[in-house]
Amino acid sequence: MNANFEPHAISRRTFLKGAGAVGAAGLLAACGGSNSTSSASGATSGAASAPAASNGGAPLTEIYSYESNVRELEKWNVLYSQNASDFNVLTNCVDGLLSSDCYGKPVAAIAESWEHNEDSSVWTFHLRDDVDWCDVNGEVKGHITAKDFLVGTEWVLNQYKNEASNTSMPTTTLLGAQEYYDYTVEQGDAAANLTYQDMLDHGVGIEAPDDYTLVFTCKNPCPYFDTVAGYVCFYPASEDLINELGIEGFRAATYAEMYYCGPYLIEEFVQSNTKSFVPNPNWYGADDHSRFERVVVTMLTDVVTGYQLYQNRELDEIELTESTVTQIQNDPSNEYNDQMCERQPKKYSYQFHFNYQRFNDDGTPDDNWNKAIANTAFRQCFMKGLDLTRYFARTNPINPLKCENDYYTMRGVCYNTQGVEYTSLVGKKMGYGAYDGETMIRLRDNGGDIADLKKQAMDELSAIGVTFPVHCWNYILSSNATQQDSAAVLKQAFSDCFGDDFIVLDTGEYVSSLTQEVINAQRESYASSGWGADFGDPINFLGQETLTDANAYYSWNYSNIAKVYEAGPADWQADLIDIYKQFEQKVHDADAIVDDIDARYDAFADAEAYMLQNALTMPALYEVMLALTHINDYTKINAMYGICNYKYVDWQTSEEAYTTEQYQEFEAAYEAAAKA
Amino acid sequence: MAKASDFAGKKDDELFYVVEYSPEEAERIGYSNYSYWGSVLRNFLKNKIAVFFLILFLILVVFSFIALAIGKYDYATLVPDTAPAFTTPNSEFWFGTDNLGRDYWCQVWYATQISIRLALIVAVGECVVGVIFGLIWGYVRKLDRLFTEIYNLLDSVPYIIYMTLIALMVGQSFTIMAVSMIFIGWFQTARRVRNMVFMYRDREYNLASRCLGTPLWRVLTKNILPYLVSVIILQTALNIPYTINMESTLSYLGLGLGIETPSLGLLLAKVRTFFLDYPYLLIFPASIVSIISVSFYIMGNAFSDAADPRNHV
Amino acid sequence: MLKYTVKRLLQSLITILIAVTVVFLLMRMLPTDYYFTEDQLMKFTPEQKQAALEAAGLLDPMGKQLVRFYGQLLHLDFGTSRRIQSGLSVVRVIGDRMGVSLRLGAIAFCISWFCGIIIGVAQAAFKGKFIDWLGTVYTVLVNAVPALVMYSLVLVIGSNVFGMPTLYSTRNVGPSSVLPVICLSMASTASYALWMRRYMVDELTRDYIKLAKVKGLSYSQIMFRHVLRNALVPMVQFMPQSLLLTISGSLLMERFFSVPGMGPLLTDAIQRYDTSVVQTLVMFYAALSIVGIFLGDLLMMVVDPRITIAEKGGNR
Repeated sequence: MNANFEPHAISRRTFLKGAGAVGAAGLLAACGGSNSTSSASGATSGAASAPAASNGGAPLTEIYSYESNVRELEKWNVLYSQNASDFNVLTNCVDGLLSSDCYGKPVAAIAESWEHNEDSSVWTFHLRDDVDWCDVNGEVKGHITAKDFLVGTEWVLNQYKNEASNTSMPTTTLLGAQEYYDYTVEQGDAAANLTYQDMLDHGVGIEAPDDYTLVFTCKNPCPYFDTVAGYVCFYPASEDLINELGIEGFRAATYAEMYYCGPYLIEEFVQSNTKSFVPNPNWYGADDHSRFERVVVTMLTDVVTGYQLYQNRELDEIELTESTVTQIQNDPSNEYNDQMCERQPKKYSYQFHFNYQRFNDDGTPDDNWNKAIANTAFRQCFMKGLDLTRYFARTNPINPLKCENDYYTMRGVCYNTQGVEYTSLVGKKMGYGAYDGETMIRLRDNGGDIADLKKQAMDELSAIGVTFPVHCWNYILSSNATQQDSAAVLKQAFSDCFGDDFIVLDTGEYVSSLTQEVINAQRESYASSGWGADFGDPINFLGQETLTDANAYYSWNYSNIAKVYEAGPADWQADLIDIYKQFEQKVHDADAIVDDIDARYDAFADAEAYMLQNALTMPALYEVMLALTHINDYTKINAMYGICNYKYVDWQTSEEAYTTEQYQEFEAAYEAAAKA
Repeated sequence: MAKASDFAGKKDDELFYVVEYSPEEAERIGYSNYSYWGSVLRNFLKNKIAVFFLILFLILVVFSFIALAIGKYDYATLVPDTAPAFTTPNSEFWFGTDNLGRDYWCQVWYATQISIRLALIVAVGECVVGVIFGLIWGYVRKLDRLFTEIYNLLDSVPYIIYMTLIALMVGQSFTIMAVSMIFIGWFQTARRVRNMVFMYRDREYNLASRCLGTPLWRVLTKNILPYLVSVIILQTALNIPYTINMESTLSYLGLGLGIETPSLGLLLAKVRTFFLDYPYLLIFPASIVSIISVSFYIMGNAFSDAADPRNHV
Repeated sequence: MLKYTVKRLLQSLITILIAVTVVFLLMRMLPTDYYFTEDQLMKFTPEQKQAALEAAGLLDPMGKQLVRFYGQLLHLDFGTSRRIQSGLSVVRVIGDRMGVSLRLGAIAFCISWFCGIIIGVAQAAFKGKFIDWLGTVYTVLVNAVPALVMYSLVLVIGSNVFGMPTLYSTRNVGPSSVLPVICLSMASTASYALWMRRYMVDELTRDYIKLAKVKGLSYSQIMFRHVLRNALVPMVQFMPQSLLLTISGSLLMERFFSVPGMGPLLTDAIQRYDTSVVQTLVMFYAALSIVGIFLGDLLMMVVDPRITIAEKGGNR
């Protein structure tokens, strides 16, 4: 590290600590530990096994992190909230049945162990007997037993109490849950008086044979129920607290009133400014996991200030923007030149969702586009001809191709019994090669040459009256410079890859809400959207694209193919509908396989490959960002579903910033361990 | 001279009659070879610094057209290319390139034209609407309440609400932006004018003027307005930098102009995230904004000094 | 006078009511999907949306909603926030932030009035001299450079050169308030100085000043006894208003330095369609500005007895 930089950094740090009025150097040894990356059980002792951080720097005892200020917490009630930005905070305050490890596999939390019956329809969880509720001051307020989970589930399913938040997962998986929910809707205000006993009497598939056992019965066999059970809809709630605060009061309880059972307590919360966490003294996992003495999360309006803060060491990590990366990269003497670390992808698999029923701004159907996109060759031109490298470079200027996404399902959502990651099964079926840092994987077949496809598409489409160039509408947030630039880059990519005589990208703007102004009005030709998994099974992804299912989100809202089918497709959409029908059949067949995980995933991979070959959507992007950091991301919880990724537990940190090289080593070790 | 005998035997009606109001006659008293605007111009031209800035501003406007004509790239056909991204100014790219490797020269000058146009339209619009309503508001007491209520209503609903709702419901374009900025800005000028009118309305000469039956519009334009010219001009001149400033704030909030019309404000809001690493991206548009603003401050002050009739002797 | 005051305040109350009704109706003209986050829109089923809207009473007919709204106002119940801090009463949301804005604003207000008037007076007293020129350069530059750029510069210079904390922090209030206060007072100092100079110069050309000179009053006597007092008349009118408005905070500055104040609250609330917060804020701002103007008018009458505002018979 740069010699000039270090003293400044230390003085700034001490300054802040002094201001925080906590001098806790003595605890350093106990709490500043780190965990080896192989903690698959999630239960290694942090304090005992803490090795020196791998780059020789002392582990940090306090973490200064940040969040963008548009992602400020809105709701403190984990059962009531549905926002990722809330969960990133709340996961540190409350725990559920299960958590995840750094590979995204479910691990024990309040449940010590769990098992299921033969067809995966009945799941039994054995709870720890040492979990307590405590208040914001760390005072013990109660003991958590299976009953608290019943109370929590009842709360979620009761429409009067939870106002329908987080109901979709229990009502689709749990026996009798939908019926009970409907019953509470019928009851109206009277539902306020229902208790978990009423819920049990209604035959909802959840029961507590004793204080520390919880049994769930699913509607249908559900081989992935462990990943559902770890979700917020099955978090515990304290009946005492509900009685004390009343229903309104409990729903709106803030950090000061709520009960905690997670690793941290909130020390201070200043809206749109700071959140600070201190360890929960009563946390059941205290002996097995390492935590920080304090975690401070600052809200940032601006990336510029973020970089500034990192330079002053007021932050321990910062994601870099394009200009900063270019600047650092071009200047070999820059102190951060060897410290730019590539992070793991964020948990969203971005797709360009084609809109099969586009409307013009005046509400008339844009049949030129609708006809064109219904043509398979036309869609395949996107898949096989559109070189997005420069578009990726907007996210990651150094290794743009790391952002390439070739699948519909997010990487790492699930692994088969041999430990093979699901999307690699799809990759095999598609004949995809490996990352080489030079060309996009899916363009390698023909070197991105689509002359034949283009001719085929133009011939077929001219015959049904499509005029060229076809205009493709892309919408961006008004006055958002980043999106404007991305749109300019994409426009150029379209022009280079397709030729201006074929497809032209036009850019429109929306003021506030993409969903409201563009998607609902069906004004876009394609919309870029990333699905974050709810649970660990491909059905959570592929199920969003099926033709007729009522809860196929993207089919109804983005591609609108479900609406086309319902209203009766035009002649020129017949082929498209056939493809969708076949795809749906494949998905339903795969979902019916519940006793053999390997066969199930294989069948899903088959369906997904079919979808990709026909380019029903175009996979676009993984967000692989560059960062300067003192935290080893590969020790963070990294689940593609659930809310645990921001738990500040078992993180490996270092007083010395990590270097690019070290991060590459971490990545290699991580991937080796993940395969093992 | 009329003799007493001329009036003998005539009735009062014939002797006295009401003279029609005549603007020419009214000006005759105290008439001298004095032209108000001529003096203003003479006084203004005496201020060398102000003249310098006036010329500078005119050169800037003219040059923005020349610059676009002589530039090596055309704004309409700019192409993103990562290779020359963040090139510092050189002989190929006179102002360097932006983050997408697009020529910055033509972007800056194109934006300059749009910003100047917007600022002038808004400032003049606010001035015209504001002065008219301000005069009526200040002078006609019966309307004071009504106008005060309108003012309060407009003033008490924060402009962000108007701008957000206009953007959501009407859309975003140059015209919409200009009209809505006039709409949310005119009453500030009106209020300032009203307050000045209050101070002059009951002066003795106005009382005399009213007694002589001078029509309302004439009292306003001849007796009161000249006193206000200096303040109005200053306010209008200040509105120009204020508009540019507000436009950049609105751009920062995503409520600015659309993509087809890149203003300096949009440019500044965008490059603000790069300027630590690449200062030239900020320096060029910021200096142009500063030149425009400084010019109008200096000119506004000088003109307002020159417009004060008490300085004309 | 008392009658006038009461009458005027009552009328202001009606204005506020009209303003808040306008906002109420405007906010409800927007489609209901705006009430949800993009996350929620993605994961909510139509029934869930319906249920949530119903629970919030947003599906009732407009008239019923308005009547309920007025009823709540009568009980001084401003409702609860939906998005800014879900379930928290609006009074608490605003109360938490008001203190911060007021503290920073009041400090900046004092600094900028003090400096602004001194600079303005000095400029007028030495009109055309070096001090005048220096002051003009300052006012012109501060106003010419867009606030966004200026704040960026203050932030970078303050934190890199002087080592000031970059963002406002509750753990470190004193030092971390320095940069925000500097940003706040820079612009307003310049504008006070500008107008002060303008009014002073206007006043200096008056006939009574010539008379005073003839009478043999010293220059400083003229400046302080006559010119300053007269020039302050139009200035004081803006004083109560600008002090009161500091409570509403500065949008840009508070965003920039992450100050947890009132400034960004309104934009945040509008962008998240948190209707109770928007309505309460509008009411609050309206009240502040109306009280401010009223106090300004009163103050102006006090310092200059020639000015009357209350309607009298006889004049037109």
